Amino acid sequence: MNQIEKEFIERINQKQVGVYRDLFRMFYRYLVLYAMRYVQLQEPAEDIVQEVFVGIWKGNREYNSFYGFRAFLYESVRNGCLNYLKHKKQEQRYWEYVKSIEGGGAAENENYALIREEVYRQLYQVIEELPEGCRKVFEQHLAGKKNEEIAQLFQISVGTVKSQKKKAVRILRERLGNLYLLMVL
Amino acid sequence: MESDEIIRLIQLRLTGELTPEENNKLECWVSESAVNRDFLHVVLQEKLLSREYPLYHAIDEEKAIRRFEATIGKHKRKYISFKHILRAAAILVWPLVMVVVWQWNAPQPENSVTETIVPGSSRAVLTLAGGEQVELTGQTEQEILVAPEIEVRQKAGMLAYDMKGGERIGRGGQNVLATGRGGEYRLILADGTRVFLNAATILRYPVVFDDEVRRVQLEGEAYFEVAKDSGRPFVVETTGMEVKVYGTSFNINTLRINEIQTVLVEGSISICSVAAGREYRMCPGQLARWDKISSSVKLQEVDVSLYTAWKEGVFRFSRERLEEILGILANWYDVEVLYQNQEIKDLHFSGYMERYERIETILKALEEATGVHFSVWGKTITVSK
Repeated sequence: MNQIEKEFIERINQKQVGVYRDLFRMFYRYLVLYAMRYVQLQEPAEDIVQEVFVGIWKGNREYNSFYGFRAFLYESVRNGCLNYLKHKKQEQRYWEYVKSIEGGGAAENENYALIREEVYRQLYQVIEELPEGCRKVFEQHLAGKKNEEIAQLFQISVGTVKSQKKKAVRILRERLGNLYLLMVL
Repeated sequence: MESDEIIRLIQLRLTGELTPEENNKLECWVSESAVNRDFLHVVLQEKLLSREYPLYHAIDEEKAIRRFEATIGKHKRKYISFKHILRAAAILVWPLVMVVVWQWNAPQPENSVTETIVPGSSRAVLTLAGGEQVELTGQTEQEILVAPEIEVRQKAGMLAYDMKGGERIGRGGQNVLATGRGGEYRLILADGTRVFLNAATILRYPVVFDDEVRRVQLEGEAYFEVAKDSGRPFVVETTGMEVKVYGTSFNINTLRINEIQTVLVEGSISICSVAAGREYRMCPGQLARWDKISSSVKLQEVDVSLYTAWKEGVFRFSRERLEEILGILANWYDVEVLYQNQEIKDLHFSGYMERYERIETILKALEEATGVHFSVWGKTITVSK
């Protein structure tokens, strides 16, 4: 754990007022996406994540590490999803999804699962924080559109599309390139 | 290889190209086990990024935060009423406790007068466009008319210019918020940007922001959380140097003796040396030191918490010169410092202490660590060795 991750956990444990904003900024949207993989719809997914965060605020748990805290977040959201699907008499869907993504069942799978989630969570956040013009172009690029199509869509030159893509990749590289940023992300 | 490194390599692989060195590292990891190989294969195949990113983008985070704050607000009110019940019971116990505490804390004879020195607190003076001044403290709650038809809320150490349901447009002139020594204050500007002013700090800002650019002027030290607005850059002007903000959180300090220090916590800013006409782009985790004399800029990687600890109510010093430390304490406690000789100023100290603590506690710690002696008379501290 680096210094900032350590301080984040301390602030969470001390229930420091400002830390909840950071909690949202870093985890909210991704956890909603994560929940949507189970419950399909955005609204119940948001309800579930809100409940998890309120639970953290209300509860008396002390977290020992940033790693453990993240694992706890994902687990809590999964449980929330299971409860929701049970309520909707759709547990079957939950177990099918679980089977489809968690092949084996070995303990180390949890580490891989966390790695996978973190790959996307941080990436989505950094892409989201790109300067707007750059972000829009990059979003289309991610969707598989060619340079000419993107240029057409936004009424800009192909040259601009290329340079915005390059800029996005450069910024991504800078932001993902410093372990420090793990906390920021 | 560490998880963090793997995460980063995969992220770069998903969005761009790896350098030959990075490629080797990834290949190496893949060859370590079949599980690794399968894992990477799945991630590269599933094309999750393109499918999910639009959904991610569509989620309204600000709305979610407001919902959360509303929920915990309701819970807090429940807790408060419970406290009232407890308080009634406590009143009976209190008189006994008071006697015991008073005996234990009987005043010791001191050879210095220190009752007049108190730590800083939430207070500032607001100067409106027309020149009128309004005193602000941490206790009062009021609406202040800062311009024709523009009212702002003052509450609990914070002044808020933002409006629910969209930003104000039109004209409002400039306002100035000054904390003075021993003060600190929080501010929310018209666009939602949050600023926390430290002691001896002056911020000039418009009541309503321009369409093209958001400009403020700073003398002193403040922590900024800039509201995202890619259409309008946010610029902080100080004497000789400007900070251009592309997004979010950083700390600027002009109070140090030889330089202006800017620390970027997250997001993206650049430092512009006005005279030199040069712009230096900063990365999170960096400190930019702008030399007041030569106008040159040095960038270095630092532990940002060292520079932002003040807003959490803490002084943090890492091998800091005594002169700088006492300068910071002087601004916060509103005292004057005199040195018996020049060498004392160069003594170094590292430490961590609460900002709302009495100054005596801090001076004692400094005495023990550096071997100097402080004598206090009224609001003047004399340092000798």
